[in-house]
Amino acid sequence: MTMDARKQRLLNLLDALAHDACVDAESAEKDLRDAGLDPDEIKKQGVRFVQGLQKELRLRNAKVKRQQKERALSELRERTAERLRAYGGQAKDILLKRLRLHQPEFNLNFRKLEALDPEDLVEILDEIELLKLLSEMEEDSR
Amino acid sequence: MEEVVSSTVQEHLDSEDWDALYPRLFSYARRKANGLSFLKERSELPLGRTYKDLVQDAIAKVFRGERNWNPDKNPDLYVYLTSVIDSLFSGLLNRSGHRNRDPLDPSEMEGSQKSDYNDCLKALETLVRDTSSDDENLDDVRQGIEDGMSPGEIADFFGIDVKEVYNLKRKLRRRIDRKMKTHPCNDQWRSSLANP
Repeated sequence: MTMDARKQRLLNLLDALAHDACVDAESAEKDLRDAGLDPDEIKKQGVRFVQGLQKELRLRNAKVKRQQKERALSELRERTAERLRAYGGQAKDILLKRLRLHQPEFNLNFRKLEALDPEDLVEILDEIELLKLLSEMEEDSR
Repeated sequence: MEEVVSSTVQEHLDSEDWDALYPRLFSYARRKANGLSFLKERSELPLGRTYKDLVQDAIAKVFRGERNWNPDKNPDLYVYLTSVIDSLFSGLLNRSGHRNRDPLDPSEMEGSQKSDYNDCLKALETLVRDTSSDDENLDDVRQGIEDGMSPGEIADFFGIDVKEVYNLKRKLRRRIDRKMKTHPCNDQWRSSLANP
């Protein structure tokens, strides 16, 4: 038998015995105590370490979701702007009417809105209104 | 940037009992490091790493999606993480072997290093054989484990009750632990492995 094969047999044995020593938390803690280590301290370190990773994961997933949402909204705006081009000069009126009716918070600054291009007005429409407008325009074109 | 891990995996990781799991992983890695240390693979892990680092690296890799844990396929996170720890041990030893030309293959070793390695490998072989030589069933279990058989396979092959296989495995471990601890090849108490 080669040296590597002999070594592998010993490692198989040591690995299996290691798993046996850690078969449950109680056995593992006893094993650590027998080795002169403090399982309670190890547990504390471990939980602290995992809590850090859980926080990191939650933050990263939230960031990814935010970026996905922003990407989807940007695509929606592009599609809406593209559709509006077919309406020529009417596009601005359509958007202003929409803003006045459904986003009244802009009524105070309506004069300023009137000075904007249709592309800028699309940026102001909220997601729900964009979706409604897009679906109405798609309906019209059929 | 894509989602790091799926929400299902995140839920599994959040609901895991880390208080129970972490000491198990820690103890597993400690034993693995000590076994390698006994065989003179290293008196300490290369690149300044400790077995505690490897435990934490394994957990972090799952949390960061660098290892794709599939709870449906591998429901036991302990089993999955110990396989990651195994792979980190092996990767680290191989990488260091390349960088430092510190040979892991005994055929590449020279002089006293080779003689230490051979001596301790033979010593461990003798030690484990002696441990089970007075009990036929214990010896069968030892050989079965060395052959890579599961407790169920050992029970079937040697005609021993599977519960007895587990008891014998425990007995074997206690005996080997005692002998390894006092053996001259065992430098675990001096090495950085034992106290990360």
